[in-house]
Amino acid sequence: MALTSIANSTAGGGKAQEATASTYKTQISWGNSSNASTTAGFGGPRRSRLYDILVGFPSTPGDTAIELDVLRVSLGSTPSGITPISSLSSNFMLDPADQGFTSFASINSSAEVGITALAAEPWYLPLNQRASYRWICNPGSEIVVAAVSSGSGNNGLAFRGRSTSYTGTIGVTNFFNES
Amino acid sequence: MRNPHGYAQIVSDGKWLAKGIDRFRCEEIPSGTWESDTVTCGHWRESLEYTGPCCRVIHVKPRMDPADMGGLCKQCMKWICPQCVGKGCTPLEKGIEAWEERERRLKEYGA
Repeated sequence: MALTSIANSTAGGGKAQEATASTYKTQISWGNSSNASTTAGFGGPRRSRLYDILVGFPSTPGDTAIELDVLRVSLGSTPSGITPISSLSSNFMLDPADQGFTSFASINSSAEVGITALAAEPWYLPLNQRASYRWICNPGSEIVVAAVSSGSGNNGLAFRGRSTSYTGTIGVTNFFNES
Repeated sequence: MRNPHGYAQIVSDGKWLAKGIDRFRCEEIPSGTWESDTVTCGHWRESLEYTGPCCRVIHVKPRMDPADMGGLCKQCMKWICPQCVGKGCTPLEKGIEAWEERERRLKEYGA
């Protein structure tokens, strides 16, 4: 089982962070999409799990609230506004011996895609800008992404953030495993 | 709580009010470290609003009323979130396997 750590920084490659706004901005998206440039495995949908979330705010501390959530999304074949980092997947593996992940992954989207009115929200937290947060779960209690394509829907996860007053960036790291 | 599913931690330099943790409760977060056990919903949700894996994470407040966390499904003996209470029992793993099998069958038929 390949373990992956994806941070929305450009350290592993990818797009620069977006400023927070009053509408949700996707920081990290992950799931099954034929747009994924696979570097490992046979391609196709994979079952994966989100098991660790770390959040912090790099701007000057202030008393503002930022809403954060993880939303189920449907990632189609060509998610616009989302630049995949799947071709750089080997940069994000916890074990350097792992070749890479097969799922689709992107950071700091400039457009929100795959979000439907009927989506579920597995995780939600309002967090003060002065605070940092971590959630980690036991094996078997992860947020699971089923190995299905966008035709079945809800085949991905999006970590998003918004605030009515905070305009800085959000630092997020998500850990996934893929089987 | 006994056998939590996960663990959450907030480190803050001052106290503040978290309005709407898990979208249903408010809590004052103290200065320093705030810790919370979490439970993850173990049901597959099938309703008019949403069909798919649930896996909703609930932060458990000490001495919290179990009914506020959702509940314990007496059929599969898994913790479930408030949204899955009273909507039948389809365990998460069973639902995901059926969903993936459906897609495999559709591909075989060329759909």
